[in-house]
Amino acid sequence: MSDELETGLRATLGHAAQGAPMLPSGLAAQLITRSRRRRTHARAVVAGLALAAVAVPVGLVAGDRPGGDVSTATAATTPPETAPRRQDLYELAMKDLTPLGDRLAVQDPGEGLAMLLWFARNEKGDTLFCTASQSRSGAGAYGCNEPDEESMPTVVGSTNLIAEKVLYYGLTKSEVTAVTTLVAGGDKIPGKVEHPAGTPWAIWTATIPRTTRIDAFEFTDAQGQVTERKKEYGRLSEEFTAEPVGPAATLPHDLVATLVKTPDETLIWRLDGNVIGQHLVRAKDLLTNMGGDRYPVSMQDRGAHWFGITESRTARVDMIAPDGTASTAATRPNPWNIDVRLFSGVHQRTKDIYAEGFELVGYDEAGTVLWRESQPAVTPLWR
Amino acid sequence: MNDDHLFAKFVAESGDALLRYGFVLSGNPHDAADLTQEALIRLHRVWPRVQRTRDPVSYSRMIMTRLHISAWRRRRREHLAWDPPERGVLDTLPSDSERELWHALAGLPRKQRAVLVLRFYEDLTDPEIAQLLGISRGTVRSHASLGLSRLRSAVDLRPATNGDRS
Repeated sequence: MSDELETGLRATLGHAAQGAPMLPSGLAAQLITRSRRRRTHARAVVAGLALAAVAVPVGLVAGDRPGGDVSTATAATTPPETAPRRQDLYELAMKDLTPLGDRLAVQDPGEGLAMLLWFARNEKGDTLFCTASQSRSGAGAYGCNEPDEESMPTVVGSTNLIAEKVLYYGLTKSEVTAVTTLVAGGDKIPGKVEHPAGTPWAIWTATIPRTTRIDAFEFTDAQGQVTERKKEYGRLSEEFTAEPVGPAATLPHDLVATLVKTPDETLIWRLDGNVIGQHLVRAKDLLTNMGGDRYPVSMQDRGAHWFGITESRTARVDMIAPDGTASTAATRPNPWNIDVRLFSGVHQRTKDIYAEGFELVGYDEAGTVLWRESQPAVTPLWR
Repeated sequence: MNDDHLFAKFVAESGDALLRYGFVLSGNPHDAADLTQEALIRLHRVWPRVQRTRDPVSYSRMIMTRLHISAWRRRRREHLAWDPPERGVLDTLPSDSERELWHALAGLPRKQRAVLVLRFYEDLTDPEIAQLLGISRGTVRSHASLGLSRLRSAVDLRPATNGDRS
């Protein structure tokens, strides 16, 4: 029994490792830059300690608003700047690679932004399948993997599994002309199979509501014959299905936060019962980045709702748009004795808040500004 | 060749292997990418010393493992140089039993998972694992035993039919 388990474990880890992405070319130079910047930053932090204790009083929005309600006020604030333009993400992904056919742009339903799928060839002559996606907050993700033709059609990946809709995508050989998602209850949701000019294989996509349970993806040829059914094994991370520990915290605008401890202490945010966000709250990691630097606030959003955690001195958080319009959220303690306060608010912006940029400002009980965090307007990551 | 050139050469030669290790250690591409990049950044900062006195792969693996065990979960606050695409599914596992085993691994405490990954993926000996994790050999054996026991109770390892269970 033990031998069988150990053999199975060895095989599983070996096969799973093949699913890891490949490091992009040119990463070393970026890591060296990051390493040097961090060293410089460490020196700057030491030099800035005396200044950090000085808070600047600003009478932006007077008084507390316990309901975390929406307010408008004209603020004498510095409008968020446009983020410095970064290197085109597609160009970054294609460093040392040669394109193979046309790119396919599809909608990432979780972000409401385009995602790119394409083929490329590396210096060794291997054919790679590449994807690039962008988040509303300006982060980019890209990577290439060598497809396994033998196992096609393949399910290569999906977009964010906790968004309202999820895009699944993969590769098929050219005889496949249609893909259908078979869902629990017997319903079928049609997807798309596209074969961009000059590409070696076809790309299939299927956009499925998150709450729909997928049984399999079914592939058919031009005669309507089913050529393959691929079972779907995607699962939500442990924290989204773990039992909450302690009471739930109910916040303004129908948000509910619960604490789970599997696999780490994580706050799970829900709206109408659906997971819309999470924050890691283990004491060691609380409001701390990988370099060990502390930050005062972590905010996420879904639709008009914005919510998050902030350092425990903060009594109120304002989200200020470039035109000075402010949305306010009063913070409240959490029921789990974690050293943060929770907040939730709604804004009335008609444009995407990340596309136009905003500033978060934290105040103490006396209305003194404790911190400011600017989110510059986000620009597309590729042409 | 100066230090940065040697470091870049090391990343080009060993980066993917470290990323694969990070992937089986953490179970997802984002944590794997973050762990790998963070370990490489830390390696760069001590590169002149490590390349002279130690095996950089072993050093990087030690940083990644200790980071993962001690203080890790994807921290969306800091985006490093590169973030891989979302992978909601894993299509490289050829059988249901391997998929079950992969998901069962996700339920193990980190140290147990790390010991099993080091033993069965990296093929390290118990003394090597003990040194890497900074724990005793007895503790390594204990973590391995507990981890295997939990996996055994979580997955069904009946004999396969046609290479897979029905």
